[in-house]
Amino acid sequence: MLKRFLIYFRRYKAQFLLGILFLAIVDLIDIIQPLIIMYAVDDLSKPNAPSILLWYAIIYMGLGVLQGRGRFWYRIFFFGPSYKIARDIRNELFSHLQTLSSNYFNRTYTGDIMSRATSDIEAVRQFYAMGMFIGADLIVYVLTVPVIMFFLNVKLTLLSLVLLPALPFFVNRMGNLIHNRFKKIQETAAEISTYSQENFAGIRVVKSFAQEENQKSGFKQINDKYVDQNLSIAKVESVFSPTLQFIAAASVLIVLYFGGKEVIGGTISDGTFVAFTLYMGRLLWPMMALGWTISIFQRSSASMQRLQEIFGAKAEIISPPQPVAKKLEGAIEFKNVGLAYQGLGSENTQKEPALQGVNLKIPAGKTVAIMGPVGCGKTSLINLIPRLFDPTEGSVLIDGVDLRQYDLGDLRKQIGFAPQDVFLFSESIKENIGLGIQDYKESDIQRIVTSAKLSMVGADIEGLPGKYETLLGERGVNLSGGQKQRITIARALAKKPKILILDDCFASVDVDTESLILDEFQSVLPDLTTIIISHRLPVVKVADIIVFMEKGQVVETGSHSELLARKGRYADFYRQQQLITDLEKIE
Amino acid sequence: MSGHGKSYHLDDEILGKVYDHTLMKRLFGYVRPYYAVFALALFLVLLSTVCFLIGPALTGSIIDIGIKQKNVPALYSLCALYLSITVLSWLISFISTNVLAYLGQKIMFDLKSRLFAHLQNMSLRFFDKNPVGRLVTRVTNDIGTLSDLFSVGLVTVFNDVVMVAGLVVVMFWMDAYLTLVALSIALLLIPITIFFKAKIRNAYRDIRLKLAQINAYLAENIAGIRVTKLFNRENKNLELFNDINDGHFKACRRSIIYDGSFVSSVTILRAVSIGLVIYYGGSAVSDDTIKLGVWVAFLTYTMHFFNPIQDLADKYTLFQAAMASAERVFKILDTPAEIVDPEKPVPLPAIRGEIAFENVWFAYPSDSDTPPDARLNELQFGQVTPGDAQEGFTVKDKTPLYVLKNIAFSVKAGESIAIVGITGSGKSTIINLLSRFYDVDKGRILIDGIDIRNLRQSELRKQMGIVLQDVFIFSGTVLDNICLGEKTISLEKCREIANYVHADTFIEQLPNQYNGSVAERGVTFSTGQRQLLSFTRALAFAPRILILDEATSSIDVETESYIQDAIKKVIKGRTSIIIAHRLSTIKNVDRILVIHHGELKEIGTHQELLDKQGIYYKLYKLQFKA
Ligand SMILES: Nc1ncnc2c1ncn2[C@@H]1O[C@H](COP(=O)(O)OP(=O)(O)OP(=O)(O)O)[C@@H](O)[C@H]1O
Ligand SMILES: Nc1ncnc2c1ncn2[C@@H]1O[C@H](COP(=O)(O)OP(=O)(O)OP(=O)(O)O)[C@@H](O)[C@H]1O
Ligand SMILES: [Mg+2]
Ligand SMILES: [Mg+2]
Repeated sequence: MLKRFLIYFRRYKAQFLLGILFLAIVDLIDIIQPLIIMYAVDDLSKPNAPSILLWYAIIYMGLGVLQGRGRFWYRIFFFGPSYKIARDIRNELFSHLQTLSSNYFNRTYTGDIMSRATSDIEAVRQFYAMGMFIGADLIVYVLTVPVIMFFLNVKLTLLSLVLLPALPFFVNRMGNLIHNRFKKIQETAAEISTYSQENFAGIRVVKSFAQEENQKSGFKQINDKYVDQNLSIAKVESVFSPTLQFIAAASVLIVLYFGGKEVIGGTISDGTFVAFTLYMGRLLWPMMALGWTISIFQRSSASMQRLQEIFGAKAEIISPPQPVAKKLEGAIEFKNVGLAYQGLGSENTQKEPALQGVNLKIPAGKTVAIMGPVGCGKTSLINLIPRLFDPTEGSVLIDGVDLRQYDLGDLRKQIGFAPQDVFLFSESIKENIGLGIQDYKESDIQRIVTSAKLSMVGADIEGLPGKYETLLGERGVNLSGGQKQRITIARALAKKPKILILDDCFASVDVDTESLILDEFQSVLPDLTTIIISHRLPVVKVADIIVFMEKGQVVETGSHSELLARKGRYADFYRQQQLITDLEKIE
Repeated sequence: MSGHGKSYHLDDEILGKVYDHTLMKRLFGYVRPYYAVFALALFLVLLSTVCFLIGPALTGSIIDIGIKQKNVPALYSLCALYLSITVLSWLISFISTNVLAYLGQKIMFDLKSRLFAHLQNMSLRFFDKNPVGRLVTRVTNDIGTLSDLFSVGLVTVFNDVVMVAGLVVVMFWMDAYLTLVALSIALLLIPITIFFKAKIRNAYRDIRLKLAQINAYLAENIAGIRVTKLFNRENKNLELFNDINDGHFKACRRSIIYDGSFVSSVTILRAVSIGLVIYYGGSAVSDDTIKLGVWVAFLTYTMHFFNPIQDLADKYTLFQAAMASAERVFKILDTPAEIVDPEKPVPLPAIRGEIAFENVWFAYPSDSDTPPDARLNELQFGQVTPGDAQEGFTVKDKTPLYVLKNIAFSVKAGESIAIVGITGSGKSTIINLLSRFYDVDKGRILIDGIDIRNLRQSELRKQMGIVLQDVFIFSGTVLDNICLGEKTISLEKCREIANYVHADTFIEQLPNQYNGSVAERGVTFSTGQRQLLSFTRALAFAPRILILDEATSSIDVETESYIQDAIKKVIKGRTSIIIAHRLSTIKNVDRILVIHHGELKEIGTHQELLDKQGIYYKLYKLQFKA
């Protein structure tokens, strides 16, 4: 973890070093200033005192101007890179998150990630800004002030530093306390973020079940915990900082008492004594600074640990080092495929794998319908094709090559996928359909419009006031369920894919629209390998092959008539639908 | 979140003048419940200031009385005094750190809970228009900044002000002439502060704005990560994110430049002041007009005088940051809930379940209806009454795009009806209006003869069990998802209902069954399973009115046919409204409503509608052509 802190430091080393330089100049001036006063005090009795004093005053002011400029620059050089680092970490975090696979996101909360990307990064930034700055300050003072004091008077210096050895022990103990408590606080902060994120996203359900009051009290509970944890860290800090200051003040006292005696005894001059007390005052600051740096460092390292948890997550699904470059034909083969999902949290892997021994061949250009009851593994199966998940057993091949040998981006580029969970971005409809297109050329626009028409959503879009430029709300809240689904179909088509996968995309579409779309596909896109998951009949007429799944296994494959003739599960299933239809006809 | 600055969401920019006093007054309102604690904090601060001020004076006395007069016993007792003050200081800081933390945390707690509670009352239109991430930022990061203000800010500011005042008094008391010399320069601070104020504030406003964008972007893109992957959007997303992130960085950098200039001015002023004291004071000492100890003490005081000022300068940035956050938080708190409960709600005892739509017209506020930016802000956040806001959106040059036109129908208690129609015809909208997610533009909706606007929203909704078209599953456990927060629903009941709708098969396969953990949005369940879960949820609340919006759309026919039996049992004696595209789903209903482009075209029983040979007939024929 310390390594990570170093990486970013190195990246902006030059600026930080300049910052330290300016800081050192400012501090040295600050350290010289008491000397000026010391000489001024000692020169008071000289006959030409006023003119000497005038010089001292001018020097003091001149140094002050330098110091002022210096303060400006070291702020720029410390805080500037600190913000750059925050920006870098955030970018890297986002970029890393995008490489992580679905398994990771199944276990992670959005609100938690948001909290890490803001609040924890801010805590880490504080290390580079305040932490390093105060730390450097501290070091400059500790290295110089005692030296000057030694020159002024050895005995007094030793006396004043007698309490110092108590420090390391104390600081270490407190540092650990702060670290652990702060980590808990950040965890709770993430919980608050998660809770509110989920609440706002699911506000329709909250409201329709009149759960506002329960949600409020749930929120209060976490909030309460957060307050308690914050108070518990305050308790540590309320002992920590004042005690350090106490040690410093006690040292001043030692100087006052013993130094005073020395002055009375005539061993040291008035000026030296005054300077000594001023220097002790300047040691007071590093003592406070020590408290702060430790606290800042502990906090930021706790936060860095939390960020490290994300950075440490491995991207499970990645491109091979030497990918096979090839234009896809679209023949898909599942070879003895098994898939067992990872369990959530402490729960072990599920008892039943989602897929088991699946063997299936889909020739290029064919249309396949996958059917089967709820939760039988249809989505799990097709998710393997664009490698949203990798099979835990067996392999999936396209054109005879294992998927894991293709470049991930290349592979996905050639697959048009309309997932079962509709997701639209809060961008324009055009951008949603043309997702992934960098800048829109005339031909792209054309393709977007054609795809929309093919998916029978063109007319709906034309009917909106902004047409294709209509902006959508989060997840497309301003569209109807069926409109959203058809836009995802259009989006899959707009890619001009070799393989088209539609996962239950007609659920919210009326059946006649579904038939029309499917018919259209048949005539316009004849050589596309198409996989359609659907619970309804229209798909049956367009499918060359029907795959019937149950409990994670493919139980029957074949054409509609073959399967009917077999009188197996599919035939039952089909008859059931027919039965319903007939029943209605009789009514 | 589009990177091109355009978005469906409401503008988040705050423009215009800085009104600190009003903001401060409101913020202080939150201190009021803790005024005793606050008073204690102030008292402690005062005390510690006094202790601090005594320090240099004591040092001065040690020089003048103890050392100059070679009075060792006096030195001894003065040192003892010094020691006791040090101990006292330790005690005070110990107590005050705790007191301050308590104060800050409590206020933050109140504000946060208040904000969250307020958001719970906001209507859906508000949520449609504000990205989730933005709201999360308000509740977490913005309140966090405010808590800094309360825990350290306010009291240190007070401390500093007291310190400055105390120093001025002490210095005047020691030497009026020198004080004037030393502090004349300090007056320059006033114009400097005024100069930087607006700049720093604007930088901080920008920071808050950008931070909210970061969160909104993250929230959305993490939710859509699969789609991003499928469409190779990673690079573009990263670019967009970099842009927002860079904007945040630039705003931060602006803040340090102003900040640094401010601090640097204070440093220079301080050196000039001290220089003046060295010269004038030193000359006075050499003239023997003042004592050495006094001069030394005075020098120390002058140095110290600029410490609180420096500190105030630091706090000033904190203060500006807090004000920028406060503006945003209050902006939300000031946005009135559009749909509010009536002053005197009609109590709703167990209802019979009659529903009537009387000539209902409704339009969603669309982009073209949205007023130009200036008015937008005003409408969203100004002190407009809900009624006005409604008008602001509808009374526009263009006629609004009515999604529902003159809908009129009634449902008898215990009757079950189905709503059918092509996609986008307005079916879900009817449900949205019935549950009062939105208010009708014209006409009215009655339940048991009472206009729903005269009811308390929670009472109205408690009568209904709704399966929404967009299923939403919370993280937590299966049981939590079925009962939500309702403690009255027992595990037995849940089991029974789950068994009804065949959700039990998959639930019982989970490692911990009903206590099995559920991921965010239920992503580890198949879509059909999620639908079954939300179906179970609706039934578990045993509503008088059951509303199913495409509740079985992702469920296979076999499972559905089992559920059909359950539905038949469940809807007996209950008013129910069922929306479905699969006509087989609605075979058990009493009457069917056909909606076409927002108009109610046909109404009647299955047979009546078939005989009519209208839209329903066409839909029906098409569906079973296969
Ligand atoms: N929140 C919203 N803001 C703006 N327009 C909306 C909103 N919700 C729906 N609409 C629009 O209102 C119209 C009717 O939508 P509604 O959801 O009622 O259709 P639906 O009949 O339920 O369709 P589906 O069968 O596809 O679910 C659609 O054209 C849709 O684009
Ligand atoms: N990410 C996951 N982690 C753990 N289990 C999962 C995950 N995704 C799916 N499952 C489980 O695997 C099984 C198969 O799910 P899948 O989504 O493939 O079903 P499906 O056939 O698509 O069903 P539906 O018709 O409802 O969409 C289900 O029991 C489901 O609960
Ligand atoms: Mg599925
Ligand atoms: Mg709908």
